Amino acid sequence: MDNIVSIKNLNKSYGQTRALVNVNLDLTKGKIIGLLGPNGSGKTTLIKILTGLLQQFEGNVTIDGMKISPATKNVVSYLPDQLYFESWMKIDDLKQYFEDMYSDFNPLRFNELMYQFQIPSRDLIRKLSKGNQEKLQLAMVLSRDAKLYIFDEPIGGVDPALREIILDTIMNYRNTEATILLSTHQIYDVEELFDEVVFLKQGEVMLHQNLDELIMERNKSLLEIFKEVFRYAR
Amino acid sequence: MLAKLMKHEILSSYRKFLPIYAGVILLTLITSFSFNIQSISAAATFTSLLFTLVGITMLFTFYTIIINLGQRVFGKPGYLLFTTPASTIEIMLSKVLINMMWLIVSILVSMFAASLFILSAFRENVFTILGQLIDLVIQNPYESYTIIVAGFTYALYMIGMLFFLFALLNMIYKGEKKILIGILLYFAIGQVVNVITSIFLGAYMSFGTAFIEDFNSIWVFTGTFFVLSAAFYVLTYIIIDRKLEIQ
Repeated sequence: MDNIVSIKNLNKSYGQTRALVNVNLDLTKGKIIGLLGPNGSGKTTLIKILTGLLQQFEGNVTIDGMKISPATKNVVSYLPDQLYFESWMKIDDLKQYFEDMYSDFNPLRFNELMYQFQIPSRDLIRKLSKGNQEKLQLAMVLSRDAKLYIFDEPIGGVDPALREIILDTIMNYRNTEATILLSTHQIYDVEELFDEVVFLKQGEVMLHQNLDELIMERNKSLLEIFKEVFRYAR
Repeated sequence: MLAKLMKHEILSSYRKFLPIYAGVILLTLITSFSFNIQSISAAATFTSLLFTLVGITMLFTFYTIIINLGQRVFGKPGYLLFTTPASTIEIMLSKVLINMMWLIVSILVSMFAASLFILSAFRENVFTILGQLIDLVIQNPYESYTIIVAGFTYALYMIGMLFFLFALLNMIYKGEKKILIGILLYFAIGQVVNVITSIFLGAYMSFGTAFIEDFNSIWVFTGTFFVLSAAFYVLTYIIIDRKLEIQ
């Protein structure tokens, strides 16, 4: 089986609003895939379904051949688009949580990342700066040897220096056999990262293609193709 | 996985509970000492402080339970909780068991404080009082057991009702006025519970009434609230397992 994610006829609505419309998608193992689309295109909804945070949907979704369940959560390492730390948590508490809950957590890699990010190790997490909290959350996610890494807008709203650190760290510390699904609406600087891209527009998959082939085919950069596809997106 | 979840549930709260328990016990000892030095003003001051702290302990316990079942499950920490490879049953059990534990420990600490206070304030009669209490329990094992089971069931019901309240709130309302809608929902659930309990309990609308008028009817009270608890837990399970939407 070459696919890590298989999605068939996926539909999701919030009241009258259709967030995902008949999505069919197969994500190949070992690839770095960009999930691209403007705000409100359904990227986060799709990711929440893959991570088990959204249970109400129509269609069939499997990860590594399994329906969404605790078993799939064991193979998915997820970086949400917001901070989930609790006010009482110290860094060591969070590290202990990951060590206890995920058998693939690598504490040595975590220590290395903490050293690299220069995050003080004994502070309460809430006392860290927002940038350090984001780096800490990233360190947690990358310290797992997961089969599928999902990053939801990891570079949204961060300064250019941190953006570069985040992208470099993802590329350098990821499990090289794993699949990466990275969602973003900021296309510049990320073109060289992706093997494949998925364009989501108003809940529909507009395009899913190998990035090199796409650029060759259209003879344009990813940014230009993105602008072309989403010119009329609301 | 359940044991690990319970461990981290304890870790999330013990740093707040332990200082409060230590404060209550320390103040209880100081209060009893103030009775020994026979200073009326010191005794009055420490007594009021002690009762305030016992009140704070119970209020804090309920506040913590509400936060543990609400914001820490359906708020942003839910991103971490529900991406943990644990089943819905394990997540729910860890929450319920640890919150029950804190509730019981808080009650025990408060009872310890009250007992020591009585011991100090009325020390001439305290052994008589304690002796009578122990005799009462020994001579009436059925009644003691009944009261303990009823108390335990009611605590289970309260936690189940709060868990259901937050699960339902998260399912039906996604707006900004969650606190207001939560309060309204609480009263709505309370009204439904009142209607149901009045069908089964009839005139015995409360534990107190049942206790005074017909002791055996406490079992009707216990049974009714046990069934309500079970209903709340099943509904909460269904919402979390099949209808979950973390915002």
